Amino acid sequence: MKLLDIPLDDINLQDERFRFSYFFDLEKMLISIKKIGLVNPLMAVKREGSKYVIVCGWKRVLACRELSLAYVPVYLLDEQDDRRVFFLSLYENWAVRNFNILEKSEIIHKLNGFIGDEKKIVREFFPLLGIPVNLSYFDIYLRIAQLDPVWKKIIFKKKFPLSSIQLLTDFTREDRKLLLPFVLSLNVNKMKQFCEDLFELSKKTGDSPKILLSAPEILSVSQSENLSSLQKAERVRSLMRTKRYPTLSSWKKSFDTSLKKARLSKDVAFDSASFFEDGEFSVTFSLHDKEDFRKRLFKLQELVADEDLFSLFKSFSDG
Amino acid sequence: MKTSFLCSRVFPMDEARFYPTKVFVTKDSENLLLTRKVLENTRHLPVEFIADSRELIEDVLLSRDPVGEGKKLLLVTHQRGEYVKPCPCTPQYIGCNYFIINTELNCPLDCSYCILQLYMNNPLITIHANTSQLYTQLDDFLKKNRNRPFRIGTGELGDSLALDHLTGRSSELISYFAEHPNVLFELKTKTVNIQNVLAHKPPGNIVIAWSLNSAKIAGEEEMGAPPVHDRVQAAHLVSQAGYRVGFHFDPLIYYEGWEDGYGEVIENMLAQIDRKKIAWISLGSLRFPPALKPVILKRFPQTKIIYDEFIPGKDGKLRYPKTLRLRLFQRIVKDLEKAGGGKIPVYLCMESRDIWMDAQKKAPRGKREVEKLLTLPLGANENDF
Ligand code: SF4
Repeated sequence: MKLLDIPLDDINLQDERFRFSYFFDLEKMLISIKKIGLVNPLMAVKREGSKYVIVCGWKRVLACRELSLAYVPVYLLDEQDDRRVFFLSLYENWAVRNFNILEKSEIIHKLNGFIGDEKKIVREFFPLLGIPVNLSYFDIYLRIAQLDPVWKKIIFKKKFPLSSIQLLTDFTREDRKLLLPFVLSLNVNKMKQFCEDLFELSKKTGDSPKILLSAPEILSVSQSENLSSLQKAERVRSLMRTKRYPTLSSWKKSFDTSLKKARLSKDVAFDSASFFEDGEFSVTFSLHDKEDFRKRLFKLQELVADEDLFSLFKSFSDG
Repeated sequence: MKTSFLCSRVFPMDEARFYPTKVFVTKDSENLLLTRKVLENTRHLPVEFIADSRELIEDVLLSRDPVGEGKKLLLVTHQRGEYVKPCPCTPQYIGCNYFIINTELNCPLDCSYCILQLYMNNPLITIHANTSQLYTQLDDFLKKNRNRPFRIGTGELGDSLALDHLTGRSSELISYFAEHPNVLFELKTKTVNIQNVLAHKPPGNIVIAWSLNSAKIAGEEEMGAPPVHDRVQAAHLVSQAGYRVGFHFDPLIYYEGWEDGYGEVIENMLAQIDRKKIAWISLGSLRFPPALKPVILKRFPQTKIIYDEFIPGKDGKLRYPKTLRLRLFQRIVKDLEKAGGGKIPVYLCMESRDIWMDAQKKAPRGKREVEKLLTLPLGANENDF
């Protein structure tokens, strides 16, 4: 292994055969290089022709390019076997940090190319990567590696958990494209719920996500010019929820309507514990002092005479 | 002899019976009586003796479908834990004070809703061959509980009779419990593997029970299980031979046309079986831990049963909302009454007191009362709580 200063232009940045990390935040790295230069050299090999291929240090090399540096320090490896070079890169990184889900998926994808023996990969590398030793996870991670870059970027930015990413991979590429505008503004949990509802509804009805997403009520929301993208996403999500859970949604709706009719003050909340399951309802309100408490209790006592409200409770608790 | 002959004519037994693709025996179990019996009954199959089952289990766990792979292989080994345990009825619901014996683990049938798909420590069909420990533990347990009636069964971690042609376990257990009349011993099955049972003189405290479902659900969701009609016919043969029988309508599954589907089974069941021979009928609606959903989705992509409306119960399991469960239970109870089975003890599996009340207009006060109801002597089932 030799330490050289090589022209940045001699590095083939298109060649990503050893790369498994993407979506870097370069800000700190740029400041550091500007202040003290690149202290930690890259690692590279020379391949076809006279170009260098990065083994370790993608973040550093991208920062150097951003700063238009002409030369970068590089440890040049003599190793000719790409597979061994990849292992070196893998272990070098593994020793100092944890990999995120996208990195793991890229590693498995590359290992599959270098080794080709799925059982061997699962047995030898999955414990290293903290993945259950099971071939179905091999399939899941390969599917993640094949996601479109736009989705990978969202996954990275919103820090999706594996279960949410897995859900995405259950859709076809075309369906995922359709999903994008509906979920972009949602947070991870709501997005997961929306995808889950859409997927399950599609399974239940036999209609494709495309058909479900082009239902007139959905289109009228998504094509509205008066709503922000967040408002659209929220409304479509709630429409999908209602379609997926029609009975529970209708209960919730009539419960809410009856509460509205009872004209409770805003800071008194009625809630049905456990989806109307055990016939129990809770009332919560806030108070400042004894007098406040007395007033609240007085108002609540008035409610006892509200037959409509209590017949509603009864209908829920009786089933 | 006569009934066995009839039985093999009625059911194509050898086709329906389970045979693994390979048998593994751990060295510590090699010379046990039950192991030899199993090996004799599987002599046409490849056998491997292994020092330890861990590597084998790890190998199966590595596969894409460990549950499916595990169902092809038979492991004969030692039971290291307790053989006898209380049934893990959910504490928030009324349980039935039932005890289970873990003689076998896993099941060659493949029901889409099976909870065992989640228990992934060992996915192989496993026979615990150290029978002497089983009986020592049972002796201890029964000595401690000799003064009260209770129920005990084997069908918790598998099907009680699915491996019976390999083990002959039913005969042994029936003989054993015949000596303990304070125990109602239940063998719970979906199979028609009843030859060993029929070959036995029926003691009064043994109940052979079948899990039943509508023909549609059985056909679509209970892979490898005989049609419901055959199960009822097997129950008929067993009851004719003098046994008490039980039925578990569990899981009741909601679908378009469920009323007729379950109604037909009840009608057929009560047309074939003398209701006085029916020790109990249990009802349970479909319920499953959320973690089972992705497993079902992956292993049974064609099923639709997980896409209904479910709510999380007090035990964390997903179940139909109360109205729907009640509708299922009330209809079954009504159908039973209509078909003349109104006096058969019916109990609800893992349901709260108010659901019992709404479904049957009566509810036991707790486990002990359920136990009392279900251990009433035959013919005395005036089911008042
Ligand atoms: S018969 Fe019972 S144990 Fe066997 S697969 Fe079906 S549900 Fe599971």
